[in-house]
Amino acid sequence: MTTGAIVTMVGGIVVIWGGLATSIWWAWRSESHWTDDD
Amino acid sequence: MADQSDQWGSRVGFVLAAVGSAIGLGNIWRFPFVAYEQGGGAFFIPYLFALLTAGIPLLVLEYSMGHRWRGSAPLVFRRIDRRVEWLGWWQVAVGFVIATYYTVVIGWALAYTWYSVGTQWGTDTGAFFQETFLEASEAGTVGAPVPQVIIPVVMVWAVVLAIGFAGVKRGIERAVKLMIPLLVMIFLALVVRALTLPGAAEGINALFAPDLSRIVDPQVWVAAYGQIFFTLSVGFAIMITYSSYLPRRTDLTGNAFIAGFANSSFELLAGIGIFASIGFLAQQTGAPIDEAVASGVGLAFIALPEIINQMPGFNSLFGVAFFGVLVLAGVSSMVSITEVFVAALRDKFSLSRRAALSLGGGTCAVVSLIYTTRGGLTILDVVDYFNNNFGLALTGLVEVVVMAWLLRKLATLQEHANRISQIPLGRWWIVSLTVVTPVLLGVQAILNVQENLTSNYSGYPTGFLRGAGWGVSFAVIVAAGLLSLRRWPIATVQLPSPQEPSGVDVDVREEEIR
Repeated sequence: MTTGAIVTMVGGIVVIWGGLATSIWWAWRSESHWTDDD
Repeated sequence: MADQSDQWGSRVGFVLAAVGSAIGLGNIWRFPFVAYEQGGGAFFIPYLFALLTAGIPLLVLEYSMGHRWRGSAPLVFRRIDRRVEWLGWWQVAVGFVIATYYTVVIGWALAYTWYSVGTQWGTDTGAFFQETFLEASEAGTVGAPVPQVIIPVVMVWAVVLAIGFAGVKRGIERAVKLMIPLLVMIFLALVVRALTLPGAAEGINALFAPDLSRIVDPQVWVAAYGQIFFTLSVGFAIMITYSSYLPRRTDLTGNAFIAGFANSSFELLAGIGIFASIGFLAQQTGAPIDEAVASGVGLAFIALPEIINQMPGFNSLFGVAFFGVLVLAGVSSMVSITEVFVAALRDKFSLSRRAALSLGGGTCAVVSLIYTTRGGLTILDVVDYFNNNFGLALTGLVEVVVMAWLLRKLATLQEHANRISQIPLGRWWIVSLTVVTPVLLGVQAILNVQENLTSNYSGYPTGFLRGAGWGVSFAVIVAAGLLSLRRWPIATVQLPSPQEPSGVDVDVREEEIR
């Protein structure tokens, strides 16, 4: 694999999967909203 | 009207349903090809911009609309302003048309799950799909129904309707809590296996090698916004309907970020798995990668079976797993599309869930039989293309223009979302929806019209395109107009009082009910 392809793949994974992990973490820390929607 | 039992039981249930709706066949067979065609690794830059300036803002918009005005799309638009109710019905009608053929493709995948056992498609996978399985006839003809297609389609409808009959909490939520984790686990296992195949690195290299000169190409940006728009299930009322089932206190913005990033994460995983497999196929056959690349139906039902044939072992198992994934992804999307027109029928005609599902789902199932005939493949291809480009893409564009420019409701929705959400919506959200999204979707719409006025899609006969393409797209608009003319039940249009936030205008509250 070329360096450009590796950088793009790793960058894409970090940003997109990192974005998902951050969003879930953000929701998780507001525990009442995660487990109890009224 | 929807009753109290039509409410999500948990936040995770809603998020999984929204993600299940967004993750569909397009994630697996469209995204990798679009990324490869539009600059490889360089495509990911406009794609990320599109996610953050169109995808997630549109999700927040639709979540907020459904949550703020509580109802199916026609009812939500009616509550916003009676002059735009037709837009809700247009979205519902577009979803109805999608449902007619989407079930058929899931039916094909179900049949192929069975054909995977012993790789019954043989060595010529193209001939098996076209001639043995579909018994495809010439473009523009209908022909006789094909039993081996009808049977799996009926089975898919039975599952989709059974989930719908059980309701939101006991049906859709339970189903997605089972299907989505299963889908992700099986797909992850398939991707790991694909990565260990010889030639996988060359395939992944082809997908991710960045052609940086393409970043300044406007066509790449339009393609990125188009991909984000089509992949997130926005523009045809699913998210409006689903969010109307949320309880009063819920994190709308946070849910949109999770759903948007989860969908893109799956798409990225699909790209890696598909291109690793294509690299393997290219190495086995000695063909260059650009000749092995495929998308859509050709990728799923011709190229993938060939790849499965070439695998060194457990061919049947991988076939069952791959087509099982397609079925799971398809069904989780299909239940959301069905819910759109079921909710609309319930609201407008005061029907029970059972009656609305029997009427709407039953009609849709009967119409879908047209695609199980020998001419079904080409009819499906044309209806899908026109319904996407002149239905779905336009309803999304019109929705944004109406909400942002004509009715100027973004400030109301921003206030609503910020009052209950963890992540505050800032100016980026308003700018995204008033400028970025309309401009990019508008350019895409102009290019689509221009292309289809100057050449026939896939070289199909003009008469066929006028009937199955333009004709269906026009009929959808007429149907939407007619449905919006009917009067609403007296009590339906009024927003339930506990949901009315103080100080916010509710246009219909004191309005005469048509």
